[in-house]
Amino acid sequence: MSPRTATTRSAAPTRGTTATPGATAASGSVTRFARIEEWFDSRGWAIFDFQRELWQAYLNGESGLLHAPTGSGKTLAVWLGPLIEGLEQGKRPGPRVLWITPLRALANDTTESLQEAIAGLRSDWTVAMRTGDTTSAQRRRQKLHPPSALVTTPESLSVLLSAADTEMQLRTLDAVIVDEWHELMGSKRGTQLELCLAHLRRLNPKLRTWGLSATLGNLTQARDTLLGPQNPGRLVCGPAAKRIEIDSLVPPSIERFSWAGHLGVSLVDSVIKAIDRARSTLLFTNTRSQAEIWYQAIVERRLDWLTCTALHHGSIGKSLRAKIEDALRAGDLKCVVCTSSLDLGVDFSPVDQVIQVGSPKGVARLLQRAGRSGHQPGAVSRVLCVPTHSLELMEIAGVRDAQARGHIESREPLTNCLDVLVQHLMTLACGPGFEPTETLQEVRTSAAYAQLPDLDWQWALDFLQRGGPALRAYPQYRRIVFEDGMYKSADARLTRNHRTSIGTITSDDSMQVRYVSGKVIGYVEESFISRLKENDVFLFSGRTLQLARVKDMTAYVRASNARTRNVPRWQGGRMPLSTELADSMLRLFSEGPSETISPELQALQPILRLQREWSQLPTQHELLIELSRSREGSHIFIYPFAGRLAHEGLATLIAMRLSRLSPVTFTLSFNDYGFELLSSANYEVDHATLRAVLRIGEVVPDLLACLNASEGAKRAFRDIARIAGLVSPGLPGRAKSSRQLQASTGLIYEVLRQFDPDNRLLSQAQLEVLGRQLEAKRLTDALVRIEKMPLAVVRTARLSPLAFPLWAERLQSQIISSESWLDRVKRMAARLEQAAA
Amino acid sequence: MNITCAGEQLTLSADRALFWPARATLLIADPHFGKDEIFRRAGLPIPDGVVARDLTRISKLLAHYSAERLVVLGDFLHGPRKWSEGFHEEFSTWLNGHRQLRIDVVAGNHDRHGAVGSWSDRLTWHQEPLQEGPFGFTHHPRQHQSIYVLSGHTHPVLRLRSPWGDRARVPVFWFGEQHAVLPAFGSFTGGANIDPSVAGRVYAIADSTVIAIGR
Repeated sequence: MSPRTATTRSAAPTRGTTATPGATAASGSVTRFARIEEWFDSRGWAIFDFQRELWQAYLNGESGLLHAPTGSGKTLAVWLGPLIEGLEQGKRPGPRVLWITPLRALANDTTESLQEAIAGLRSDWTVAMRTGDTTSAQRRRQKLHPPSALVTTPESLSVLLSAADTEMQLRTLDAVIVDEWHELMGSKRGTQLELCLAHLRRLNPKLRTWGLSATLGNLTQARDTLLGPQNPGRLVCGPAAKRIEIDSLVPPSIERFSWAGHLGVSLVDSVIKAIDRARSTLLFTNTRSQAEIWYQAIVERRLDWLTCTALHHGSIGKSLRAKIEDALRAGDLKCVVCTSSLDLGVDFSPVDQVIQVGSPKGVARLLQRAGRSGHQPGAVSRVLCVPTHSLELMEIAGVRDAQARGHIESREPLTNCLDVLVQHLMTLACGPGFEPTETLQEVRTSAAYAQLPDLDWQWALDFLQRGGPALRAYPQYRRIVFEDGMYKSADARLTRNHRTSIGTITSDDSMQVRYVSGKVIGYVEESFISRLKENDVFLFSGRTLQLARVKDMTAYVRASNARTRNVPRWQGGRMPLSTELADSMLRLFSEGPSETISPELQALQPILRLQREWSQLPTQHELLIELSRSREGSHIFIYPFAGRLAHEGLATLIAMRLSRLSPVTFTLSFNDYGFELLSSANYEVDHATLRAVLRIGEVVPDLLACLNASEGAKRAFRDIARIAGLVSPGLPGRAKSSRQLQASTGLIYEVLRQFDPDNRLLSQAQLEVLGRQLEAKRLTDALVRIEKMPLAVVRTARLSPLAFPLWAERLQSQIISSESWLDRVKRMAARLEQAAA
Repeated sequence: MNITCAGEQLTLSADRALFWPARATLLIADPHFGKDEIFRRAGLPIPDGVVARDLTRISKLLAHYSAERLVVLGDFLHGPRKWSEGFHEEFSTWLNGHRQLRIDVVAGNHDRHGAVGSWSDRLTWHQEPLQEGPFGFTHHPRQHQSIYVLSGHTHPVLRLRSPWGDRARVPVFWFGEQHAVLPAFGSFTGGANIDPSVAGRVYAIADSTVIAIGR
């Protein structure tokens, strides 16, 4: 995975020799692997069984997936097979291997470690990089003298396919290696890569595909998704993952009521102590806003750490991030506050402590983060968890329990994404063009589109060719034309535009933030900036900034000395609690106190006692429902423990079903444990009614009915519009060459809805909201479970400890109402007047 | 909704237009005709039907108020283009259906190239301000001495929120001390948030009703 992988391994000679009896050469392959053995001997390494298994499988022409933890020698396991074959076959024109990495930032390190192995085996292969940063001179050189191996990203592979003359070269490929496949699968980038791989396999049916993955609950499916469902492949297991010690920072006193956000920063002094004790710490938070707040809190207290503490998240400028990563690798930093931006990537050997602020929300995620430290041989990875509200202690105990039981989350691959298909077809049309019948067959060899309906395929072709089906064509519009049996890009300008937009598949609707003097600091969402006025002050990238002006998708700022708590909120930050972790929590609730109780549960006892006294504890065997009254009205609290996204869907669904029975308006709030429906004081609901609305019934139609009233589908459409090429590829900071072509995705959504309601990208947006935003599958699973469970309906005199955080979160809640748009606007306008008065 | 402005009675329509009964004049701002076609020609798939819908909306408004004249406060066209046959045809047909209608257009920043076509002699182009009675018709919302300015250009919308998470974005008419801004008329136009704390009267469009907001 990186040069550090190799370095780490070299420091661990004993691990291999003592722990693996199979480290002796298997007969038959002695000669073939002689050079590897020689090289390994010279470095004092031993060969692992899984490495030998994989080399042999590769030479036999097999494909497959290797799952192995970081620092286990997995790069050499997949790379030396092709190298040995290259040595045996002698010189042939390249490229012979494509190495796909999800992160541009990883390409450099990968290239270095591939080259190290080439030197070690005395091969004459060459390696080159092809990413968005590759200059046109470098690209020309690569075309004239193709390297034996090309390290690239999924997007750059698409760009390669969009060139008219690369197809011949790609026919010579022997293998594609996909690094960090677990990270790509389940995202649209993964789907895009599946389509590219299907295309490469058609160019060369003997192409071998190997993936590298961290531990997942569904490794077999991960393999089949990578290789295509029709293709056989091997699943190779590396050495077992290191054990992870999970500690938590138990606060000295637990408030009787836990509530969101309150606890966190109050633990900052203890966190600083922990940072002080370690050499170098990675402090992970769950959101970029949280990272900004924690960074600020730490440097405020330790001014002496100002130069050795850094902030790293996805919205911070690329060059600054690279600088921080280099400093971290060099061991120059005491602490880096970061988000998932450092989940992946090269190992930072100097890092000896990982701190997780807030619930990790899942087992796999915490394991991955913990694995960022302790690469010294035999070292146990430790992670220190810092709860941000008291019930998060339960989640931390839950992760430890789930890890012990080996319950790891799965990742669901996506299927039939029409936006990605439209983009891919345009990519092929920009290249040599595509023939429809064969291409449909090709597309269907990928797992993502194996079940693609004929009608969807036809719609995608029509959409590119004339906007809609023949009778509903968009005049003057075309992106592809049909000539001599092939679909081709309609003109050179479209081809150029398409190539620039391929890379934007992951970028947000973001605004560049730069100093008036010109230096770029990073990116924030447009919606945040649009809420600020000139001279407003906000925290970003660990600095206090004052907004000077906004121009051309760029926010110009100055440094400021003012104090502010104004932190940008980025979309999509919050991840739901995983099913595995939720189950684990419920199990812990059921078990109750015992001698072997964890420190977290020990600390939580006062809260759990209150919950038992005022209501009861949730269990796996019945559904806890609390009914209570307050000055605010009548509350219904329901705790299915299905994660906040599914709860958002469930709350909406149940509120809508109840509102059909009698006229009522509900205010909804939800968190990872359950949801609340609040209505006026005289609202009554009984056991039988609750039973009736908590049935499966017509889940999907009911949810779709709710969706039309909400903004959800419009939000999901933002990504779809970008991927399917509905917005012009204007990039932040770039002066608008075509001002006339700017329109927000929201406006395009409205126009499509009014003028072409059958456009399938609209229904895809709905399906995505159902599937991803409301986790419809999990929601349905929860309802299936609930149908079989007794309901424990408890009337409580006051808010229970479980109910309290829901009450506190109501500020971010939603409304289900039968009121008209006019009434709602009037009511909000009235408030505006009150505020102004 | 009826309001009084500069001593004249004006009617605000929820279909994003303003009617001045004293002169039987309908005012609209920023229709941006042809924007959809420009997008389509650039390979961005915007469905057809926007021009037809917006022309029909004007016809309905003219009939409803028995207006004899149409004033467009700039950005009549979205950009300089060699328009398609269909585009010219739609305008010719529409104009033929309104033979008595007088049309005055104040040139906006998008109108630099004017309109070309057999139908375009029906339009009378003006540089801002076009003065009439107590009013000055302009595209850009600028003050002009002693006259009250009716303008467009900014596509004003108001963002509303409730403390429990309900939110809305609605197009508005904004009336200040010396000038007013009309909402953008075009169906395929976006909007820019106005700052509700700036002094002035705000009238918001919610569905088919205009409501007054503010003091």
